[in-house]
Amino acid sequence: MAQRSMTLSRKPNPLADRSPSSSTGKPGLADFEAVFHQQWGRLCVALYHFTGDRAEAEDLALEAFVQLWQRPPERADNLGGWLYRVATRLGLNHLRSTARRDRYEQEALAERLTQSGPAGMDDEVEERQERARVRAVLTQMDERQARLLLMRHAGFSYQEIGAALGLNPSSIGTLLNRAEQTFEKQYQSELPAGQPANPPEEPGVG
Amino acid sequence: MHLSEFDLRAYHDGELPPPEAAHAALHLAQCAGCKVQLAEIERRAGRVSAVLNVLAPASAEILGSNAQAQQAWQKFEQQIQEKTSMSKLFLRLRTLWVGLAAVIIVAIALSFPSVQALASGFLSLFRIQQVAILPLDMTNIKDGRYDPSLGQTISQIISDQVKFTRKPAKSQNVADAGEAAKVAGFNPRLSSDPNQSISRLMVQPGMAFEGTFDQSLAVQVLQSIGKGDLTLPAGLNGAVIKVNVPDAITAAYGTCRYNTNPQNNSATGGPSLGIGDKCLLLVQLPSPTVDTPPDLPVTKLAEIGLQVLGTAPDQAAKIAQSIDWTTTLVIPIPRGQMDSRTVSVDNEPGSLLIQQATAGISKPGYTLVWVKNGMVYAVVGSGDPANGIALGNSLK
Repeated sequence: MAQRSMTLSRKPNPLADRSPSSSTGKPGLADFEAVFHQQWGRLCVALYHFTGDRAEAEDLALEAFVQLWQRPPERADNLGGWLYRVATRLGLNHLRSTARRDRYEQEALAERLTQSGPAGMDDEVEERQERARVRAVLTQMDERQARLLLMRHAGFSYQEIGAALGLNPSSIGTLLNRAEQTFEKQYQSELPAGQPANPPEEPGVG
Repeated sequence: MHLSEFDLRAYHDGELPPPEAAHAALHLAQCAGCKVQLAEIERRAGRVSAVLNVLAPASAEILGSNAQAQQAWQKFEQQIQEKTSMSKLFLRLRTLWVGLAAVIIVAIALSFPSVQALASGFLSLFRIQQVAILPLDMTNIKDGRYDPSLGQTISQIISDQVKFTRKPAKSQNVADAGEAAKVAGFNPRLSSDPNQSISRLMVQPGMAFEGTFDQSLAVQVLQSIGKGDLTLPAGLNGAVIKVNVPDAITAAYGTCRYNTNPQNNSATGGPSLGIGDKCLLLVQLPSPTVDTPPDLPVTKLAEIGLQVLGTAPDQAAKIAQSIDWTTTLVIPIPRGQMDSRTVSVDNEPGSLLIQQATAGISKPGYTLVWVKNGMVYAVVGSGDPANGIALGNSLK
């Protein structure tokens, strides 16, 4: 099929049109404040999909901006991609460190369940366990696949994902399919503590 | 011709440009095979999305309102200040301080004392009595900046493990030595030379933080920076270290450049100082302290820290053993970018660091650091270092 132009970001990206305001190329504080206000909400919502905790999402978004301020990319034309790359990496790192804590929690839980049986599980425990299971799967996946999956889930466009991960936007769709297949396969094999494997809803998928 | 996997997926995601989306819709209406494939994509995407939703149970919509963005912006300004307050004092020598920060960070990351020793109540107190300049080939630190991956992994453990008990805050101008003493809690020593006039006096509030050591995380960090072969001493896990940096008093002598741009002021919390030919900055503060238990294997940890910075293993062992890390402020400087020599100042041995002259810098910046009676002093200037030494000698 002939070369196509991809749909652009749904909103114009203020970072992309930034003109350097000083000889060093670093944006001035006024430029930066405008970009901050335009991107803040978007970034928080996206990171909330990684953390599941509003305060932590805000902390990570703030950290992404601090890093942008401290180490602005050399090329001004991909500032949006840079910001999303840093933010999603922070998001995934956060998810991994939560997954580490999950492991301890899972061990404690498994011990409790051997004493009380699965009947000792309440809804909240079950939810926590399910979250831990999803985090464990994402942590085991190839980092790029995990970020791709989460970025799309968080509502980023192909264009934005491509800019953040250094991928050609026209390859994103196919890569997303692969990432989902990998995710499902590993999700099925990642058993929640003390529970039998769920039969796959769609046999033959993957 | 059937639709490609990409087209089907992009169609599902609403990522096809309108003419192609229309074309795809037309084709799908007629092609059972493509319809089946699209349905499979839809079902799988739906299942995965439903599973991923458990990570973020509530709606994210209330996040990021204008009011929250405004609050966040203020926090951002504060953080920028926290991160730059240290290097702001040494504008021309930021490279050096980044190097120092790296060593401090690595030391913090690696040198948490054991919990048991803490509980027993025996803490040794690190106090600076001398300064050592350490020219290093910092292969992990390029152009005075962290390698981004190194910075990222290190900042991750720091943010996870370090809590500020006293947050860095904005510096404030004070009217005279008396007010400075009242704010900072010690009497500043100032120049007795009548030709040296103070153009501004400031107090930079100190900070304090404590960190908890996570052995598995530290091992992971070492692995992620390609140093997985380094072995950490056992028994550090869960340990706590406390660092306290007291208030510092800065006196600006002569004609210094002040940044009067109010935008810039709000970012950094105070007027930033530029060091012209006729400007000298004198900074003084009581020695920062680090609380650790006595059984901390400091030399071993320093050796690991040096290797993390890129020093060869045999070299790192040699350097680590040659320094008393408990009483020495170690300032690593990137080899080839600064010269250092020992001079006599204020009746003490002082370390003089001079930026190497390069094209475009006619008066290279310098920093002179020395320790006297438990106080750390630094003079920052540019041009002839004799001026800085003279200022140090005139203190009373």
